[in-house]
Parts: sequence; structure tokens; C-alpha cells
Amino acid sequence: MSPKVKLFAALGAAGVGLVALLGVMFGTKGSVRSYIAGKYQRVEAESKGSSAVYTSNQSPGVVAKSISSRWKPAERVNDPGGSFLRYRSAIIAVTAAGAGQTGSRIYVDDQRSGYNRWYPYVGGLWGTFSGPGETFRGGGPAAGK
Amino acid sequence: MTARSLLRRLARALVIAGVAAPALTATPAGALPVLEAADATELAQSLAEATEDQDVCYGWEVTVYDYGGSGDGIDQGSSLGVGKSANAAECAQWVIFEATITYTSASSESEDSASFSVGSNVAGAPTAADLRANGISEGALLGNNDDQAVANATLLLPALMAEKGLAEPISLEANTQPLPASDKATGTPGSDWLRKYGAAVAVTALLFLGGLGWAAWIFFREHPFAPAPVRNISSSRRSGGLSE
Repeated sequence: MSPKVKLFAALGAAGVGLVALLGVMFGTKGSVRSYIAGKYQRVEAESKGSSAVYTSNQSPGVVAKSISSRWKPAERVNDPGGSFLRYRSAIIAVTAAGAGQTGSRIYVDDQRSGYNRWYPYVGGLWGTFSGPGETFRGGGPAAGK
Repeated sequence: MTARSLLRRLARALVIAGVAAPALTATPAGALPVLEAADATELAQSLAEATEDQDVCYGWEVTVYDYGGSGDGIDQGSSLGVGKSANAAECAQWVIFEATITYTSASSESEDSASFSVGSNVAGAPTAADLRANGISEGALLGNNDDQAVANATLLLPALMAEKGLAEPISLEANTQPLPASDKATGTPGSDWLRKYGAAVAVTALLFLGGLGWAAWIFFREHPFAPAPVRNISSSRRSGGLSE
């Protein structure tokens, strides 16, 4: 292969990479909030839209899986009553709909409101808690091996 | 779950926070227990509340093999209490998160390993695949937050039972009281966008930069636009037999 052909191949690869990079950077939009807003039915909104409640006729497990597979949470905490997903832009709780109802309710809050609302469940895990020992111990003897 | 249980949970969390302090400073990190006493108590009580609502006992059983020297053993607990198995006479129906964690010695060439499954006497109960589909992984059991991984997996079982129609669903109860002034969310997570698209950005940036680097290397090392070498006409003439 002549040097000129190799040069054009390299520039072609760089061009494809640049186009793809720009496509990812400027062609992707949305957030976990917009995903939920577009997929589930909103039933409540407060605090100028920073908090909202949605419903779904799917089970909490299916909803939590759907949200977390589309937008991977930074952290997740499970509870017998549902799941908490933590994002930079939101704390999301997915729980069963009320007694006698099927499906689930999805609570979307900002960090402060979400931590406050779900303090009994995520208190100490995702923030400060009144008292020491707010995190699980963690770490096996060869952690990180 | 009732308001009473919510208050109980809050009070318990406060008690646990106080109990955990000396435990955290006094107990060196070792293979066992996987869950500190306070965390195990909290987990057992959460499971007990689920059992109250669903009439199904839940538990965890983590077998640890530590070839590094701190000893083998089993960390277990359930709705019935810390150290007690859910597979007991008191429980007509039980579901247990079972895991095995193996820590190899420092001199071993083998890597640490972990596996998990779900044991139950309920037909159609959740499986390891269900847990995996909800983010539980073997890797998490080997990480720094192995205790959280065990708690997360075990606490997922009641929700999965409800999802499969084998038990009543349980609802979360929101806190409506103001938090203590010192309590707030900390450690804001990194960008959601980067978590979703970070790999794509890395691959495309690598292709772009790699292509540019390759092009630069060819340009400076192989001189693709340099003039073609001039043939030595006189020698060519000589070889062609032309002479004056």
C-alpha cells in the first residue's frame, strides 16, 4: 500500500470518528426525567415540576428495570416496597400502586426533595443521617483483587 | 406498610446508627460477617415487615471461603432474625438469597469469585436470573459494598414475589416530616449523560484521535507527497548501451 493510500485511509478513519463523535455529542439528548415523562402518565406535579408522580400499569419491577436499562442509575437501593434509583438529575422511587390497585407509581424528585421524601429508606446511604454509622461496612478481605 | 411501621423504621435507623458506631471502629474488616451486626439487624427487620405483609419468610445465606486466612463461615439471617434461616418450621413459605464468595490467598493465581442463586419452597419463586435482570451481579458481591449487594438482593425478593403474583405487593411510604438540619443528600452522582453515552464517546474519540495519529505518523515518516526520486539518466543510458 502506497503512503498516499495509507494517509487517506487514516484521514478517512479520523473523519468517520469525528462525525460519529459529533453525532454522539450533539445528536443525543434527553434525560431520565424526559424518558419517564414520555413513557408514563403523570398524575401529580409540584415544586414547579422538579417533583412529579407518574403511574404505570406495569409492575414496579418491570418499571424499575425499564428505567434503569434505558438510563443506568449511579446507585440503586432495593426495599420490599420498591426500588430507588439515584441519578445526578433526580432520585426516582418505583413502588407498587396503592392498596387494591395494580401497577406502580413512579416518584421523580430532585436530590433534596427525594432524599427528604425517602429518608427512612435511603437515609445514611445517599446522604448524612443523624448519627454515625450511616453506611454499610463494605469490603471483603481481598476486595479489589 | 403502615405509618406505625415507618416510624418504627426511622427509630430503628437511629438506634442502628448509634449501635453501628462502635462496631465500625472496633471490628477490623474481614471476610465475616459480610453484614455488620447493625446492618444485619436492619435487614432482618425489613424482611420481617415484608413477611408480616406477605406471609412469606425471606432470608439471606452467604457462604464465605477465605483462603486469605481470616476463616470460612456462613453469614445468614431472615425474617426470623439474624443468624436464623428462613427455612424453618415457622415458615410455611420461604425464599432465600443464597450466595457463595471465595477469596483466594494473595499467593494464589486464581481470582476471587462469587456466585448466587435463590432457594425457595414456593413454586415459581424468583430466580437468580430475575435478580440479575434487576442489577444484582456476582461482581458486586466481590466489591467494596458486598454488604449492600447482599441487602439489595435480599430486599428485592418480596418485590419479585409480588411481581410474579405470588404475594401481595408492598408500597413505600413517603416521609412527610422535615429532616434534621444536619441531614441532607451528599455525594452527587456523576453525569447521567456520560454514564449512558460515555462508552460511545470513548470509542468515537479513540477512532478520531487514532486516525489523526496514524495520519500524522504516515505524513512525517513516509512523506507521501515528496517528489518521486529522480532516475539516474546517465547510468540508465549506460545500461542501455548508448554511448557517445
